[in-house]
Amino acid sequence: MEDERSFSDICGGRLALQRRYYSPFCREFCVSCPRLSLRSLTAVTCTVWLAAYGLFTLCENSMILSAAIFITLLGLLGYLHFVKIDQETLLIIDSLGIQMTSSYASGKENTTFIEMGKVKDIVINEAIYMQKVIYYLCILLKDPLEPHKISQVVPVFQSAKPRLDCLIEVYKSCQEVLTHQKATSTNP
Amino acid sequence: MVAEFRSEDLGAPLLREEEGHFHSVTGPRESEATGKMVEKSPSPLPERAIYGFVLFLSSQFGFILYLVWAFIPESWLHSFGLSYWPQKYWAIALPVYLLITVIIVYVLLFGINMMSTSPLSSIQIVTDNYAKNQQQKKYQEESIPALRDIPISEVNQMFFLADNFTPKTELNCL
Repeated sequence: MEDERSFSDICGGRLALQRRYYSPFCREFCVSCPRLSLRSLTAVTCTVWLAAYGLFTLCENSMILSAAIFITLLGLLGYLHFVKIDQETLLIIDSLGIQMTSSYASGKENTTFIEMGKVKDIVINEAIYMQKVIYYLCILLKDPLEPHKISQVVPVFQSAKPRLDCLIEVYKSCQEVLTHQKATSTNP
Repeated sequence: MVAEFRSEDLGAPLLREEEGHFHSVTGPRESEATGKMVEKSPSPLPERAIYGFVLFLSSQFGFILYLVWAFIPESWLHSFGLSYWPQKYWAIALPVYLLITVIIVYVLLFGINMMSTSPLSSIQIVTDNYAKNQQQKKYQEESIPALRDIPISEVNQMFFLADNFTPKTELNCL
């Protein structure tokens, strides 16, 4: 079963949340950020090249212009490969664990897997971020030796930063899986 | 506003300073109040008025001295016999240093605040030592429950999973 809805992130940009239910308790949530817009790309390129041309008129050295072209190209490639995240996915499998994938605009994918024994809970937490207070979804991890203490906090959807309505959908769905997992697990 | 309330309460004398003059409207001072409370309250007192006036006079004197030192040529000052002054360079340099410090402090304070905000993955946002070691008091009927730190999982379940909330009202309260 698959469905898609559109939400917005904390800055007001459009996001799309895609939910796939592979089995009753194996679910995937995919948040996709808007693609790199042509407007911002041309704006950045124009400012860099205008600044380089300004420097060129001051210094009369044509290397500055070639350097500006290289910087723009390398900067764009680096941005697409290291910074611009297109899609973030959260896959939760009740008996196995939780997997988070970030896929960059250049095609690179970054995956993190947390086994279910380490997962204490998935919660929506509020925190101060820059000058705002935002809601974000995070996975609370526990040390199997001390099951009542929180050992680590792993925030998810860090670059997409969806708003509360999107987070509530994901939260409710994950809680169904987690309660089922706790009910059927053999550990006390 | 708090000072107003306290001075009415204690009956301490009201003081007003207007451009160098000050007159006090005396009233009965509450001596029944404990000595500590009178010492630490921010209400106006005669001793504080005297301190304030001394400070005012000395600051005016310091300012006139600074102007004299900055403007009067050194030869005149030497002819009066006052020969041991700092270089006049400092008459310009110190105020400039002070202003730049003020501007940098604005930027620095903002930066320090940003740096000391915990990152989103920090465990300090969720719980801390006091919450972990708190004692659980037994629940008694018909009395206000004791104050305690509720774990975040319970809070989330109450906010987002309870069936009696509609999403609109819940988002309005949050």
